[in-house]
Amino acid sequence: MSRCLSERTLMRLITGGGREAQRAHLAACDRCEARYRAIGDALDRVTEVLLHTEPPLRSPSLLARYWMPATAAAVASLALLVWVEITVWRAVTPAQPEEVTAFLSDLSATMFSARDALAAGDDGASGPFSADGLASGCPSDPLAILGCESDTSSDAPTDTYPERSR
Amino acid sequence: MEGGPSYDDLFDAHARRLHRLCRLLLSDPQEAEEVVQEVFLKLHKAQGEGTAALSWAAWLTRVAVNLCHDRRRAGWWPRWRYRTDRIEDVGLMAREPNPEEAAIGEETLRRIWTAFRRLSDRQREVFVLRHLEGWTTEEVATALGLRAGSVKSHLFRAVRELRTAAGGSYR
Repeated sequence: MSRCLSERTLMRLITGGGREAQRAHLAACDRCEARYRAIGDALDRVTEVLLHTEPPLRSPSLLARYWMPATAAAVASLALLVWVEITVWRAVTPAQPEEVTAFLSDLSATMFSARDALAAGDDGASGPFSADGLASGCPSDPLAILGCESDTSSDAPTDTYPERSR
Repeated sequence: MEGGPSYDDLFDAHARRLHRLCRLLLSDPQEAEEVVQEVFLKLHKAQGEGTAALSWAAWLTRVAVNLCHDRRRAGWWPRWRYRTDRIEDVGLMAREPNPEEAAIGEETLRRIWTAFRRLSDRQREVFVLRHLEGWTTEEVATALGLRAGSVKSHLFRAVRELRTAAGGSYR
């Protein structure tokens, strides 16, 4: 066996493993023998340290020391959040669509009542908007919200309004 | 006991060694102290019952290793619940390094201890018994209830990690 032994094989030999041929090579090869001794020296150093020195003081981080209570607190907070979501928040939310519906119906009622009032003003020319309509020059939309019918409709009778404004 | 060493002789000869062994296996000086007390309690009982051991040193070591093993398997809650640092272990003042520490160097020292703590329980037990206590592979296997091949395998992994930590390449 002419090839030198790998570090791994040398470690196997030092821990009692390896094959006879590898041991024979180790006995014959100065280079491998020197590397084998280096591993032995490193292990002696480790043994010295473990036997004769004190382990360095650990300064555990807060997370390392309190990871268990911290995890428990996080899980409890999450559970509380889920409970609030399910019981409290869901109980409150159904009121919201009702409010929206009420608001929309109010809005539409206001809009339609304004239209009706405008229509009444057109027919009799005596409603509350008629004077303003005359003042603004557009009796169909005295508040100037919906647009003057005379602007959109070309066949509207135009001869009656100038007389009124006069 | 006739002819055998007395309890006091064994305590004087082995208490310190066992404390160091347990401290290495448990990484907790207080627990190590408790285990050593338990070991000598068992010794007292065994001598009282007339147990004869071929080697009391090996007997004590085996009992200590097994008790450490049981402690680690006892579960995380009691270990965490009662985990406290004694005031004398906290290290309020900087300690002067001893000659070995000074010779090896702070960085290497730290790396070796870190690597040792990272070993699995089995790897640590096997390495301590084989290299620090000087037992043979067969003795380690018998004490830990493992096969010799398994002991070699654990030892190889431990040596690989510690050799890297102690300095030197690994290919």
